[in-house]
Amino acid sequence: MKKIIITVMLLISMLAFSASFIEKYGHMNSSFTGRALALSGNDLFGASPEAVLFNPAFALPEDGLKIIFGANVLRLSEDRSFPAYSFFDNLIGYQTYVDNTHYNEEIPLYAAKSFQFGEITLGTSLSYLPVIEMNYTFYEEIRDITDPEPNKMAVNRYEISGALNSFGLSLGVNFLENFHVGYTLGILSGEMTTLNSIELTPYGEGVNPSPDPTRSNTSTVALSGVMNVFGAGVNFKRFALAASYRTIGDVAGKYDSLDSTDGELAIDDATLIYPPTLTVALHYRPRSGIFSTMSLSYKKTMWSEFEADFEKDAQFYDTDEYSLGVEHIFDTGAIFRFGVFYRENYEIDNLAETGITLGTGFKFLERFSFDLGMEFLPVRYETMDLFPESAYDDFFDDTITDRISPDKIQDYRLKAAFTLGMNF
Amino acid sequence: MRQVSILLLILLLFTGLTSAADYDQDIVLDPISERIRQADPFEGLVDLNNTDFDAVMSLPISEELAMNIWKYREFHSYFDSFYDLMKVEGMDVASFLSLKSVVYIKAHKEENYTTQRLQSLYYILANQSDEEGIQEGVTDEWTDFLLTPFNINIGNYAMFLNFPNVSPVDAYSISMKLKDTGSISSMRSLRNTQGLSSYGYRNLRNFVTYSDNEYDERLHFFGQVYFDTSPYLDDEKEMLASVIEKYDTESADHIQDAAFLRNYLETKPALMTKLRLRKSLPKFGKEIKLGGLMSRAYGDDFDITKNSKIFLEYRLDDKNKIVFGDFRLAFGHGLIMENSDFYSPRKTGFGFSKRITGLIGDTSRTDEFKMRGVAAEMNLGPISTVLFYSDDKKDALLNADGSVFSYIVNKPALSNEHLEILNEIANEIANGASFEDIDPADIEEYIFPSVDVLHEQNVGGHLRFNLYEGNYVAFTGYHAMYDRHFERVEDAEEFGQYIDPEEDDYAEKLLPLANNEIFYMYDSQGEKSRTVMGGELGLNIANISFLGEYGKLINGGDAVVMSLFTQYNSFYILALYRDIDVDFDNPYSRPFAENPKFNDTFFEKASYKFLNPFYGNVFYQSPGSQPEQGLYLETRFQLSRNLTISRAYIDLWRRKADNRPSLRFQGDLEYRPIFALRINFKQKFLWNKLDNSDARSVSNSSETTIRIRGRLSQYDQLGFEYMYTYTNLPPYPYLSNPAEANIDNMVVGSEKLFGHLYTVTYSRHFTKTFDMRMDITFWDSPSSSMWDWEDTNIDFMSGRGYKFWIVLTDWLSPNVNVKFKFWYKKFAETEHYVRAWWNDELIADPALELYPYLSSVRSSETALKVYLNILY
Repeated sequence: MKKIIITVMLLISMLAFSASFIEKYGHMNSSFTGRALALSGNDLFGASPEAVLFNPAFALPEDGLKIIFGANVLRLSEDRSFPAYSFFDNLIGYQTYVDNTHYNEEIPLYAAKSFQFGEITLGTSLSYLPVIEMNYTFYEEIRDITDPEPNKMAVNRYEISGALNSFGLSLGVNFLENFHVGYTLGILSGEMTTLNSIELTPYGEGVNPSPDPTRSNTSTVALSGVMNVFGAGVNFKRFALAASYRTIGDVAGKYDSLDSTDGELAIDDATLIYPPTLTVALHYRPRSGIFSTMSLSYKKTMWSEFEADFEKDAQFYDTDEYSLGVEHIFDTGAIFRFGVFYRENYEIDNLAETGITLGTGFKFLERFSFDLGMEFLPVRYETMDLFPESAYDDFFDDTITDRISPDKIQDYRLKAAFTLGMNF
Repeated sequence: MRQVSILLLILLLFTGLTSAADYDQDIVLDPISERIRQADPFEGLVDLNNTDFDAVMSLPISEELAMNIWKYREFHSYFDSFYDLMKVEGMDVASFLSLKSVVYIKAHKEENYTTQRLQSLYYILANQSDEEGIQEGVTDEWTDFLLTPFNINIGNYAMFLNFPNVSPVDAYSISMKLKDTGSISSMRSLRNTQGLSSYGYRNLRNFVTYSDNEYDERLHFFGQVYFDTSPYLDDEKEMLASVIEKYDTESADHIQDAAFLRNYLETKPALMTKLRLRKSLPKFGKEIKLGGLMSRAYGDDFDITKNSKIFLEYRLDDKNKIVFGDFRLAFGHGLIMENSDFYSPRKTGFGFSKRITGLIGDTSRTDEFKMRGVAAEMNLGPISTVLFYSDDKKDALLNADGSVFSYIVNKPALSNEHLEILNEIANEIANGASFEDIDPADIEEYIFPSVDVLHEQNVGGHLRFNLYEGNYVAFTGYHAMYDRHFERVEDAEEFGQYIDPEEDDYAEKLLPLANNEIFYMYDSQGEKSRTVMGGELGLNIANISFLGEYGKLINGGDAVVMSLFTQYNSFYILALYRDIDVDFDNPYSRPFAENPKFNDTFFEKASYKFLNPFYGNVFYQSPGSQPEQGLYLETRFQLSRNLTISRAYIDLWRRKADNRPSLRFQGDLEYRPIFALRINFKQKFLWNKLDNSDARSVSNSSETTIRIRGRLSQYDQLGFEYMYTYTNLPPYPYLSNPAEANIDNMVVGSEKLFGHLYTVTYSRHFTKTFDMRMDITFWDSPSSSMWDWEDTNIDFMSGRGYKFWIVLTDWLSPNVNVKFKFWYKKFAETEHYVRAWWNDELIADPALELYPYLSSVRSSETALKVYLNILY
């Protein structure tokens, strides 16, 4: 009986707060260093943090001990708007009604060393990486757009915070000169917290008086689990080809929720299954008059296999990500890197993000290197409001809730990575 | 005296002998000179550019440095000189000197002929790849000839004429030289051809060779991926938005559908993948080609591809071929047949607006007017012919009775499934009912399925009699058979059935825009076919060339286009006359015209008033030419070494539908005081005279541009541009009311509109194969709109704003080219300023917490284009 009640309450709670915005269950990171970010995540054919997660077969440093640590900053800004019409009822643009800006920081760490056993080279690496990032706060205003100068009726807030971090051990083996295999074991830990609230404005209360003008819900999931990455590849003089398969699996521990209407809910052993990722990458080293490399990668993440028992109706879409990165090292020693990527969104079908990356780097004091990378991702889309109309049943009558139209959202995601590398 | 002379002679002889003896002695003493005398002076030394890995690693230097030398050679470049070794990482003076006596540098030459050409022509090839928009599909053929040039000695007038910037006089001159002398044996011989312009020579020389010896028989590969997120222009967006906006205020289902459709419009990038293979067949003819393409336009409602192409072309020799699958055709002035989805204004067929005539395999993005079937081109003595048969399904707008109203180029294309959803919404709007109240039985059809609804079978040909070099007479025709008949509207009253009743009062004023161009669209009189036929005459005498083409639509009108061209060393003149009847409604006609078909008609001006807004597609993507009668004169004149009229033209024409006369002039004067500095002054004028019962007025516009470009070094170039536009518009009858006393109606008088544009351009060549160009533009044109030629696109701007774009062109290797363009535009619509002017409270004031409705309406757009080309 208790289980049935819990399930029913969960469903009611989630129906009320099923949000529809970008990456509700976090952003799967694919770039940690300045070099990889500038190459749109394509630093996969050497000892790098990205190779740990997407191509462990090539995680072999050329010689000595390689240590990398960095500081990454992600700035995500979005504005939400609805249409504005001209004197002739033509659509002339969109009126921004709220700006949401978030900052997010990461400190990735990575160390690798190679060992030679006759014809076989073994690369080992230890890493501490934020595999999945979740740090967003979204505000939204609900307005009565039947009014030519729409009045604000409610302010919605949707916040998600936390991260899924990996402490990983990777092994990469090079044998028979051209062949590589690798494996990464990642011990995952972290926490995911969400906070949702709807607060009526004095105008909203004036339209439909409500006994409680505020409704809120908070929930926390403790995260722990194991990540496995298997990789294999071949390496020729000009070309290298690699493929990897990554599984994350069920990472949920205890789930706690407190809802201002539905009360408290806890599940001791919740389910939260993150999807597997298949990666195929190609590397090309031409003779072009300067030292150059070009890398292409394709990642498929099977988000349709996502499961969460505290959100039964979650339906996500498999995503494809294509990226291209080019690096030039000029005769003067200057480095220029650029890239482009195309990445589908797992929450909104047919929504894709296309961004560019740029970066540079230099060496100093023989053993040290510094890399800087920037990613710029503009994306514009339309989606339903953060909360479905049923979320307002306690507040407004039907005639008012019919006013809700999709928001037009314009995102600008800017990420910068500063990385210090050391070779001993 | 005689003794003294003998003594001097002996002395001279002795000195000479001594010198000779010294010389011999030097040879013996110097081992390097000794080696010079031998057959291989570098015997025992390491040929650093061509030796193997082990030999490099055995050099008397550290292993690490030897590895760096190897890496430099394999992953950077071959060594051009011994001193390039100093660029190798870790190289020091001692190692450098120690290498001097053990290695030598011999220039490396690529063994493969195609690779050699790729290396030498990379600059031209890079430019070719992104000119698709202008020369859709045609550049593929030119790329083939760049990599595998054809033997000029087996060419003829028609073949020479198909190359870029080769004029008919150039083609005639070369063919006459071949006729007179029998062969052209070298580039110098070609250059010395009498009558060939230096411009024509420079453009042709990269495509030809002078014998068959250099033909590369390997399998050639050309792959291209093109990705583009450029947004549509406002008109196309508005066409769909007008439906979606109306229907997203009702049920939640509608809202989701609207968001879904909008997301297509906003986020689905254009994507094209092209693959072409070529292989010579020395035993079975000349060559076989295989080509394929998949593409989707920006915002298309299709997952992977809306448009796919495939062809197999077999060339028996240079003059006979057969194509299975998709093919392109063009003849003469494109009056009867040029199957392209792309409109190009003032396409003369000369210079940069070249038209490849004849038959080629098609891997262009043309979808609606593609030909799919089989076609053959044959030459037998003085007779050449092209025969074709095509069977394809076309997109079309249908009438309620199932007949066809018009072909459409459907971009962005919604699937029939979504069009059916929209149809229900259109009913809702038309009947004033809410969506839930609609009984499906009451639905009147407004928005019909339009994708692949017209089955067309097309059979035709081109027969040409070559009377003498460059002089010919030809006949062209086709007969299209359909599964539906074509039906048109007869008059404005009937046209009203297409218009949303809610817009009726306003639409009434717009009806004069529904003119004869609409009422004379093709009506097949119940038959399910269409036939077009005609002929062309080409004449060349000395440096004068004439080409005339006549076409006749059976049960319709006729059309004629004639051109006369002459060229001298420093200038050319082109005169082109066209007279295209308003009822010459040939869907495959692409002749010279100032405007696209249906310009200034209801389809352009008021598409949002249609019950089915997709009627806007009859104009927006129309590749057809507007029926016009007019004379166009164009010239280029190099007045002196420093002063050139780079392109000037004047066009005087009248639109056939309503006889509106117009005149357009453009002049571009370039002054180049020194090589590194170019100053351009460009002036455009356009006059349109409106003269009908509703209004008598003249609109005119002008555009003045000053551009300065300077080379800062051999790597950098900086440019500035200023443009001023001015437009004077008469009162639009459909926007205004008669000025009457005591009537409180809006009256619009004539408008004077102007705009300013400022641009700074900078480009830098980092290396021979990697360059960058960036551009920033500001404009202030609150009452007008402006067009800007930007890289290889045209951009449309209004209001105020700025934009920035950067292009990186990168040859990663002789076989791989990446081009990358990022574009950002930020602007504020004029509406905002107008409203702000009317009411100060519309301006936001954060201090007073005043955020009025329109204060934050701003627009910004970003786009990314990526080309990836692989040539082998």
